[in-house]
Amino acid sequence: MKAERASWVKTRVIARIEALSYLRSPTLWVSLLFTLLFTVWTANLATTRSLELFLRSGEGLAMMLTAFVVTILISHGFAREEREAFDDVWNSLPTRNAEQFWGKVVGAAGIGLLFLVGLLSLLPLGWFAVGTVWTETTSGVVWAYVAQTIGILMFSAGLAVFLTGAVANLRLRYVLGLLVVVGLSIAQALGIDNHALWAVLLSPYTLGSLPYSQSLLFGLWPWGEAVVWHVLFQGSLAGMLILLGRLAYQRRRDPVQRTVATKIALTSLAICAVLSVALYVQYWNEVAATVDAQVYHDVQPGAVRTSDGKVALPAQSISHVRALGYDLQVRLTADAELHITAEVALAGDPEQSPWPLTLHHQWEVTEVWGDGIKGWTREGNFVWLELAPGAAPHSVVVRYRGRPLLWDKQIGVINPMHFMGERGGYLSPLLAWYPLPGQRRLVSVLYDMGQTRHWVEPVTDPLVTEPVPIRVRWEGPQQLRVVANLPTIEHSDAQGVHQAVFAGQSDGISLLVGALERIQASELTIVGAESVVHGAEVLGPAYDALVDFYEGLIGRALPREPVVVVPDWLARYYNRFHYRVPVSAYGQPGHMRPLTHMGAKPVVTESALAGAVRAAERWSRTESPHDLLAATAAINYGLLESIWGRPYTFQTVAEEQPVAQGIAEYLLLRWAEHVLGAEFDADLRAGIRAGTVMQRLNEREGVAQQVLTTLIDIEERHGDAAVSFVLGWVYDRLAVRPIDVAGFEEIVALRVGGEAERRPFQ
Amino acid sequence: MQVVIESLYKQYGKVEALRDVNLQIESGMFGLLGPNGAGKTTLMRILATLIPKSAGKVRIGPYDLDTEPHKVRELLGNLPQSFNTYRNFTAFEVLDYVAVLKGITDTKARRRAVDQVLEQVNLSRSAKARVGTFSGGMKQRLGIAQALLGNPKLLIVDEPTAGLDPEERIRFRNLLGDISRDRIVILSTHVVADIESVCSALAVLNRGRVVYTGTPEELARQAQGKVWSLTLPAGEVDRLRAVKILARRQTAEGVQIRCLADQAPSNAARQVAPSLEDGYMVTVGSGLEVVAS
Repeated sequence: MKAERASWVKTRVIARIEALSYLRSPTLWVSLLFTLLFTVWTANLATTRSLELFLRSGEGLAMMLTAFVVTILISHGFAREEREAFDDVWNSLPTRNAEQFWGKVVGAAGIGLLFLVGLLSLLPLGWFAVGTVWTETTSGVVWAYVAQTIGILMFSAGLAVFLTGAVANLRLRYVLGLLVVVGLSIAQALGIDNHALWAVLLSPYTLGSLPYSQSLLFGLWPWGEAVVWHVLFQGSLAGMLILLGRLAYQRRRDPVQRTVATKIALTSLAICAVLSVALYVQYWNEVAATVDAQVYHDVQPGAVRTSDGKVALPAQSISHVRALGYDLQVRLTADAELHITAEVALAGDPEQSPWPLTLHHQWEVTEVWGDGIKGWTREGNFVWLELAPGAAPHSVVVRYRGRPLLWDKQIGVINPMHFMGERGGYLSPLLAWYPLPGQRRLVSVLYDMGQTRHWVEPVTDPLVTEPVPIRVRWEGPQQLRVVANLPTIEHSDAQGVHQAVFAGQSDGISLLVGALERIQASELTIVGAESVVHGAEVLGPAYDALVDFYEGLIGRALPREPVVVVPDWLARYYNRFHYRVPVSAYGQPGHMRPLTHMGAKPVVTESALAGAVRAAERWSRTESPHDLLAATAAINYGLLESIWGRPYTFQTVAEEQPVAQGIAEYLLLRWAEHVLGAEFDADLRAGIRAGTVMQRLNEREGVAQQVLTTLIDIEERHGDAAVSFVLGWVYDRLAVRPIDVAGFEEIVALRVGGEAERRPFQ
Repeated sequence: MQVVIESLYKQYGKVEALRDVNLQIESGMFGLLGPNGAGKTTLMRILATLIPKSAGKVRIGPYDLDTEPHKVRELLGNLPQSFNTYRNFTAFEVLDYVAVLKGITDTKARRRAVDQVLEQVNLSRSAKARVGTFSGGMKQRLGIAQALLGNPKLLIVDEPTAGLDPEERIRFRNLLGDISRDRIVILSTHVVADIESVCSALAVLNRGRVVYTGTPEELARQAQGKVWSLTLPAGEVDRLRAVKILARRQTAEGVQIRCLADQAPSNAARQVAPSLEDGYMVTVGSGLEVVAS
């Protein structure tokens, strides 16, 4: 008993001396201060409006920096006696290895604690600085941040202890520490897990972040068992590293001492780590199996056949089957399963039976019926309708259910692009969540050099050749709201159930489901996660100024579609419409891609909206034109898309968009000139006309640029009235049908006449 | 208490640092003498449980070094070559820390012990000064103070006077002499004067082997009848054959020489009484093991 007490006292005193030594080291304080300042700096408080965004952008490289600094500091501490030439005395003292080792570990834990307190102090600091609301997502992200911080610190301590035990040379130890920390950070970006899924577990961070998606709307995704296995693995790994360090430490000093307990603990941790790897891999294999099946169906030519039996990559144009209208009943159950009944009005060649429909293979089809339909079969992404002899079906009803999930991993981060879960999800028409006519190829898959899939992207071919009437009846849990690209006809809440009806003409249907809040800022409606739309009312005046300006220039009352705020990662898969006006020097980023995956609704990402709100707050104080430009930049692109893209939002840009794109670019230029006035660089306009400041990448962009220069010509020769005339006509025409080059020339000729101007594209 | 070393070997790869070392060390000051690279520090580090031996047996008191290193450490006080310690801590903090690690967990007892050793090494007035500000001599005294804590039965002191000025060296030797009364103190050095003044017994190591064990007087006697003194004109010194010159001094009459030789190197040579250093030179220089009667 007395010996045990003495042992405990020794361990405690060693820990105290260790902690004191750390605390007396200026290196520690400088490192801590530098890490915190770096974290705050990377968090970019100037544009961050929510704690979630603050943490997300703040952890970045800071976590890697933390890992490195803590590894070095602890490694330095473990080598303290060696550095101070006290090791011969230290090792000949009557202290047990365990007392020395655990004393040092506990002392080092003091450093970890200090860093933990420092990094966690960013929570109240961030909370105070960004002043947002606390939501369920905030809790989730905060927990993720805490878990990640603890994980990083544990891992760093484990690495330091292990390196100290395994590598005698101090400098070599530092170099190895740096290589491991940086290597793990970029390993996933280099695609190590393309070949071994479990390898993702090795890294506690990916470029400083957890390798999972985070958003204000859905929180951490997936915040489920995969993350639990990941954290378990990290804990086991850190423990194993510490115990391996312990064995190496003991081998040096007392090779004959028994190490049974350490070895048992080490084995337990190894079992824990292997188990977590197995469970993690099993989880993702189950998910990946569905995706790989998807890839198979989409990529293997043999899996796709045209109705005449030829092998070909499917495209909408190869089918004779057309959809003339949709009536969808969508019900989301409490366990996040979707039950859908889709009635599709069809037309096609009755001689060519069976008729193909494309419906993502993750949906389980339970019933198919309709006049003239004799039977049906399910094959991969397709439903084949067997027609009765001589019958020409006018409609078909398909009943199906499922919980779709299609994910992708880029730069080591797992992102869902099409999914539904307890916290909501996103359904894209591009991924056939309702029956599309004919056979469609749904995703493009890119392969790395090792022939391993590393990129999945939806194919943006036309969905339905012409806009058709669509009606969607939604029913789901009351806490989840739904936004569609179609106008809302009615909505109600009763007995815990939210119902909504959307109807309109479009070529596709997309649904965004989640704990969506709606705020009204003057004439601007914003729909998004509570913590990002909170306080966004300040954007109202900036938005009004922007729309008023466009309305004056176009001469039409523009629709005030709600702005939909989507998770940043979701934007990656569905954006297009590439504006190229290089006005980045004036507060608007050049080469910006607006988001088009909510149809005619302007869409912005969560971080873009947060930045816009910050800029609007500054503008309300400073009235600086640059702040106004920054406040309207993100919404501007979505707004222009909604004006000039509609109603052909889901059409491919290669088809009809170049004219609209040129017009949009002209409006970007005019808005920047209008806001900046004399500050605007006049040479830019001349450069655009001369074609010296825009780079033509392809024919389509050449057309867009010609539209832009034509409008500049009209403005400079005939004034704004002529511009308004042309834009107004184009706008009216777009409401009816897409506009091509000939149509644009026709409108220009109507107003300005003259051979040269009438044929601007020759 | 005794330290018994039997057939001790230590190899570093193919290099034999210690070969068949046999020693029996009793209480008192024991000197370990030998040229650089003789294996003194290797032997001291083995005794201090810092490195393992390759073969042989070592018992320190009742404990076997192999099987009970922790028990051995409880008997030990160790002052290694070029001692240093935590520069950011005060002398008192360092000693207090070492005292706890040596098992003095009672606060009052520890305070007394630390004060006592500080007094012993004459560092009481610098107790609150940071070690980083200490001179070489003060650090060595602090080193011996930490070694003395816990009243160890075996004190291992490796080259303690290296780098000290003459005054510090004498003070240090006296200090060692004082503390060796009731314990074994093994003093390793290549400075013969350190041994001469304080050791009651010694061993000479050369190329990893013990070439002499006995008392300093007996070691000195190894040179009995072989130490000569003579004065020669400057030009004739180089003509001397079969002598090992120990010292030469320029005088008005010529060069005064002290040398080792089996026979008188010249008629002018006169025999002189051998010193410990002469005995050491005979022992190390002959390469033969000489065992005192």
